[in-house]
This record gives sequence, C-alpha cells and structure tokens, in this order.
Amino acid sequence: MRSEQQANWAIDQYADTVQRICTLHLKNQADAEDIFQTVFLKYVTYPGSFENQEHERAWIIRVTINACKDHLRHLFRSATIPLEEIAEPAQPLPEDYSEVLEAVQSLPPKYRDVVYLHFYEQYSAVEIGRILRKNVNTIYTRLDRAKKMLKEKLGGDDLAEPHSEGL
Amino acid sequence: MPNRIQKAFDQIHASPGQKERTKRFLAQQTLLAREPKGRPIRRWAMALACCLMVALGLSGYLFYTTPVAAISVDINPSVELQVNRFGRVISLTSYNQDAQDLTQELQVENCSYQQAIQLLLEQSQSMGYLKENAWISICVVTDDQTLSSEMQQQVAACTGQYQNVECSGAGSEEHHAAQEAGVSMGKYRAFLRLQELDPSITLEQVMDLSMGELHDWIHSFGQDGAQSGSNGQGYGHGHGNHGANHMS
Repeated sequence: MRSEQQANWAIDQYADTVQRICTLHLKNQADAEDIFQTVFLKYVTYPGSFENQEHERAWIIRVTINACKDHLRHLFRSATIPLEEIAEPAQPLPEDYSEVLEAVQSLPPKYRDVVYLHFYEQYSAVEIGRILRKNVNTIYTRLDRAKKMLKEKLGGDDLAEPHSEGL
Repeated sequence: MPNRIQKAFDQIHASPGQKERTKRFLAQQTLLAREPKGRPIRRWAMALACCLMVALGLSGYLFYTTPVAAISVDINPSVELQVNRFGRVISLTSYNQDAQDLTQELQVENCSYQQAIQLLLEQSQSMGYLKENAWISICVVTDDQTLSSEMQQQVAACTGQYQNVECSGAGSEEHHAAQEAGVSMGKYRAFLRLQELDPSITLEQVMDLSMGELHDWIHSFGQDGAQSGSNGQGYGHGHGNHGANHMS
C-alpha cells in the first residue's frame, strides 16, 4: 500500500504517459478519466515493489494498456453510449500533428501499442514483447506491418527507427 | 532527427484538472495509507511508554492487592485479616455474627496488620468480648516461614498488654481445611485438639463457643486425657498460657 504522497508523485510523473495511451485507444475524455482512476488506484494498492523507475514506468504502461482494453470490452458488452460521452468530446488532438495521430489511431488496436511503444517510448522489440506479454517475433511482425500502413497514410521517411539497433 | 510520431505524441499532456481529479479521487479512497505524522521511532517509543505505564499500574495494583499472609483473630468474634507484602490489611473476613457486629464500624483496610489487631482488640474490649476468662487466639497463615516468624513476633509485641493471648503459625494447607470446614483457624485447631481427646465431639458443638470456653473444655480433660466435670464445657479461667504455642 502506497501513501498519498507516493500516489501524487506517480500522477505527476506518469499522467502524460497514461493520457497518451488513452488517446491511442479511447474516443472521449470521460473514458480517460476512468482509466486514470483505475490505473492509479491499482498503483497505490499494488503490494509489490519496483526494482527501479524504468520497471515502474513499464508497469504503468502495461496496466494502462490493459485498462483501456478492458474498458473497450466492457463498452462493447454494454452496447450503450453514456450521456457524458456525447456531452464531453475527446481531448482535441494537437493541430500540428493531428494528421499523424489520426493515422496512428486509425490502425487496428494491436498495432497502435507497438507503434507508440517503439516510436515514442523507444522500447526495443524484446522490451515491447515483455510489456505486452507477446512473442518477440509477433512484435517484429506487427511493427513491420504498422510501419507499412503508416507510410501509406503519411508518406515520407521520417518514421525512421528511433534506434534501429534495438530491433 | 526526432520522428513525426515522437513530435505528435509530445504534444499530448494530461490536463492539470485531470491530475487534480485523480489525486482527489485517490485521497478519498480509504485504502490510502496516510503518511505517518511523526517519526516512527517516536511513535513506537510513545506506544511503548504507554504500555509500560499501564503494565506498571496494573502490576502495582496486583502487587498491592495480592495477599501473602492471613491473620486469624479468634476470641469469639472470629475475624480473619488478609495481609499484602507491605504488611497492609487488604480485606477482612467475619466468621460469625459477633465478628460482624465487631467490625461494623471498624475501618482496618490499608492499616498495618499490627494497627488492625490493636483496633480489633480495643473494639472487642469496649464491646465486652474480652471478659476475665476470655482467650485470644491469633494465627498467622503463610507458607513463608521467615515471614511467619517475623509476623508472629510483631503480633506478640502488639498484644503484650492483653492476657491469655496465644499466637501461632499455620500453612496454607491447614488454612484451606479450616476454610472448607467454615471456621476460623483458632476454632479449627481447638476442634482438632478436642477431637483427639474425644472423637465424638463434632464441629457444630465447637462453632459457637468462645475461645475461652474451648480452652477450658480442652483443659477439663486433664493431662491423662480423662475429662473432669460433668459435660466437659467448664468455663474456668485461662491461666498464664500466654504464648504457649507461640511461634509453633
């Protein structure tokens, strides 16, 4: 059980990461609010300890991705749209790069995570495999396909590997 | 060169409102462990000090209220004083109606046992229980031989001005037997002595007699064990037997 001070520190430290993963998967801010509460409540009640901050960060990312998937599964099962969803639209995408973000959001869900984790968080395929609990070859395949899809949508060469040696 | 995806995601931030709402939500959860108010060591020390104080208070109370000896005072009235390790009377037991009458207005709790015996004897005298033929039997009950000797000496010293005082010691086993019989130590011993002399004598015959009467009855048997007198309950005077069984 973590203290209130530890919880506040984690929110300041990881809120942007959680928000970015929510942007990948969710359509409105009310859902993101639920994910924030779920993730950080799990964080304060998590009985284990983290080896270092990198370990903690990877834990937050995995829990956030799982929370988003669970949330979407629940929405699919309930098949209703809550009022807030209509009343409170998604956080507007930054204008400068809205085209890029929309392209990533348009990918099938299983490709969005690998794109984000590889191109933004700069994890290697092995590390992504560990976070998503998938075979490393699956990650390579997904990354390869995702890159092709994004190239088709966005064109250009500046989707180059952040650190090619990591793959 | 940072790729476009990096630049795009760099633009996304959680709003301050979102962070605040999440913090408030977590603060409301009772599951949250509060930060300790003081240093853990200080809190432990305070808790330990409180426990020690309670333990000391409790053990001190138990130490004070645990009897280590009893003093049975038999004249008729028959009274028993429970004495703690500080030599203070912690309770008093009356064995008959005379004893209840005697102790009704007497406050001996928390007095020293010497003071309590003096008060009991003074009150007995003023209420007419110490007549010429009266016999005072005082028995110190404890398994601690050293304590028993010391207390018997103290009792002898504080009863020096009275005649026909018999002071003795007994162990807890004999005391327990007397309690089971429902009589005080002095009467129980007198009953045992009488039964040795005449096995037909019952406890009921002994219970209501004064120590003077019992003493005379025992003496009526004579040295050879043959009883003189018609019924063995002569009321003759007790003579100079002060301390006969003293510190036995």
